[in-house]
Formats: sequence, C-alpha cells, structure tokens
Amino acid sequence: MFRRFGGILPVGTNTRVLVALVGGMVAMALILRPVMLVNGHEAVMLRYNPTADRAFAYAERHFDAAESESYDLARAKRYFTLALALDPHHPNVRHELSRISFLEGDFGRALSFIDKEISINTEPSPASYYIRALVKGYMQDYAGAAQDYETYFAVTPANWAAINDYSWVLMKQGLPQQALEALDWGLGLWPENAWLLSNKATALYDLGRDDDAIETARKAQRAVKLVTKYDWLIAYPGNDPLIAEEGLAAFRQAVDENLEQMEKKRPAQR
Amino acid sequence: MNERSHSERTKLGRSVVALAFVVGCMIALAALAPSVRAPLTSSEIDFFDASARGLGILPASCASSPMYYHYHAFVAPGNTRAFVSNTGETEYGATLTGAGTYVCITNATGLNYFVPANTAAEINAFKAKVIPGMSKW
Repeated sequence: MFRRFGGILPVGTNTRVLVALVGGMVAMALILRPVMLVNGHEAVMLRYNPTADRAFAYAERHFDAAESESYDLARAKRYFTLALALDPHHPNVRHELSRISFLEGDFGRALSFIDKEISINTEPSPASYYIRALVKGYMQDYAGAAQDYETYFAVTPANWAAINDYSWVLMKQGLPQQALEALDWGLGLWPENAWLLSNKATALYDLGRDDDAIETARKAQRAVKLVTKYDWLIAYPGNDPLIAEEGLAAFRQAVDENLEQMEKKRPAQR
Repeated sequence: MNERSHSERTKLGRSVVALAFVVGCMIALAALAPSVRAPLTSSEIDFFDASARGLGILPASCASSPMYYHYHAFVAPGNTRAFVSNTGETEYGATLTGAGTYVCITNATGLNYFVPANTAAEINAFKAKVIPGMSKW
C-alpha cells in the first residue's frame, strides 16, 4: 500500500509495525487529551479563517470553570482579545474581558471594559449590570453597586447569587434590614442555599438579633457542608477549577468563623 | 540508477518513519504527563467583606456569565426575560423537549413550564395573562 505514495515509504513488516505504533500513540494521545486536538483545530481555524464569532466561541470554550480539561484563562483572554480586534462592536466580548480583569484583580480595567460594553451594546446582557455591580462592590462603591443590582433585577428574573450580592452591598451601606428582606425573599426560592443562609445570619447579627443569627449560622454551617467543588465552581464561574477545593475550604472556614465569633460574644446563658 | 534511486527512497522513507515515531512519542508523552500547570488564583477565592459587627459577608458571582443564569443558555435577543436553549435544558425540574427560545415559569399550583417565547411580543402577551398566578420566572 505504501507504493501508492510514490514509493517513498518502503514496504516491510517493520515499517508497518512502526506506522501502526505511531498511529496508535497519536490516537491514544488524542483520546486521553482530546483538548490537544481541539486546541490544534482552533489554532488552525483562527489562523486561516479568523472571524470574531469564531474567536468568541473558542474563547468561551476555555472560560468555563465546569470544564476543567479545556479551562485555559490565558487562551480565553487571547481569543477574546482577537475577537475584539476583528469586531470592536462584537457583543459580550468586553463583558468577558471585564470578568477576566476582575478575576485578575484589576478592577479599574474590569470597570472600564464593562462600562464600554454597556454603552455600545444595544441589548446588553442583564449579566453586564451584574458584573458592573460586582466590580463596583469590590471597589467599595457600594451605592453604585446597589444601583446596578437593582437594574439587573429590573431586566431579568432574580437568582440567588444576585440576591446574595445585593444583600452584601446593602449591609455595607448600613442597611441590614433591607438586606434581610432580600435574603428572606431569596431563601423562599432557595431555602438551603449556604451563601444566602450565611449572609442572613450576618444581617440578623448586624440587627442585634443574636440568637436568630446564631440559629441561622448553624443552618448555614450544615448547608455549607453539602456544597461540593462543582457547586463552588458554579457559584464562582470563570475561576480556575484547580482552586475550587481551596475556595470551598475558605468558604467553609468563613462560615465556621462567623458562627464561632457570634457564639464567643454571646452573653452567657442563664 | 533505478536501484540507487530506490535505495535513496528507502532511506528517506526510514527517516520519515523515524521522525513520525519521535513525534508520535512526544505527543503520547504529552498526553500521559500529568497536568502540572499552576492553579490561577483569583480575586474571589477568599474575599469576605466585613460587616458592621465584624462578621464576614460572602459575595458570589454565579450570574456573571453573559449567558442567562440558566446554564449555558443565552439571553434571547430583544427579550431579556427569555433564554435561548438547547434540548434537555432543565429549570425548576422542568425539562425542555426541543431547542428554541423559552421562558421558564411556575404557576400557582407549583407546576413548571417552558413557555415558547419566539418574540418579545409573544412572551409579553403570555405574561400579561398569567403573571397573577406565577411565582417565579
């Protein structure tokens, strides 16, 4: 059969074995690490037929915390940047670049990207307001963050994370009662949510309702034990799957420490 | 002449096979080698803001993807309360049987539905009729 290739490859048993071996190894490699094939395919496609849509779609593939094998933040950033270069008005590219800057701790850059996304996208994703709120919260602009969370709630159904984060910026503005109301609403839909329970305990504590706070914190402690690494990655999408365990441990520790602090300061029971 | 040419071709062929073998080995080793990349830490991993009485407040970022908070579903163009989804999407225990644009609603009896929302006008007309009985959407 090798004669079909102009006689370049010699016909012989050893050669055939070698070729089969090489083919087998390559096949095994691609089965074990299909991402190698995917990455190679993406590089070729973007080299010879680059489009903003394609670059964006490929970048999304590498920016999903739930897909540990394909997660590659540097590659995602490179492809989002390419998408932006190919189409400066492509929807959601700046949104994603904002998320990446946020994860990298560059909040100024994150805010700049998301501001621009909201200003040029005629139909911004509701999540763009959510991201801006999150970034502003990290920058300690709690009033600005609350305003963006409220815009988010006005344009899309509420979800536990937005309620949770809204309660955060309300508490930081000295509004624990409003935070508690938001959290109670959320717990009506997600009664076992560990984040909502934990922040509810904090809101109650800030309101001076120490006993209720401790009871809620105990519920949070039970709930957080059931949170899995996968749940953590869903709660913090975009993060490296390799840090999920560390993130989950930090979350559990914070819930434990909150409870411990409340119990320590509690007046002795009569 | 022919014999010499055949011999040269044989040598070239062996070199090609040897090169392919080396490349194959490298690819196989790369696949078998454990992933050794360092984890990328992030601003979120241990961020807890302090409350007025010193407890840790825990933000999340679940809804930060431009996709709808329904997993892997994009917000429907022109209707941010609906989402474009593939077959099999599950929301509040209801499962989509076909790809399309939907809004997930729960009525007063607690039953869940995916309501087709091909246009904003269509879903708004639907919502105008059913909102009193809806608890979440």
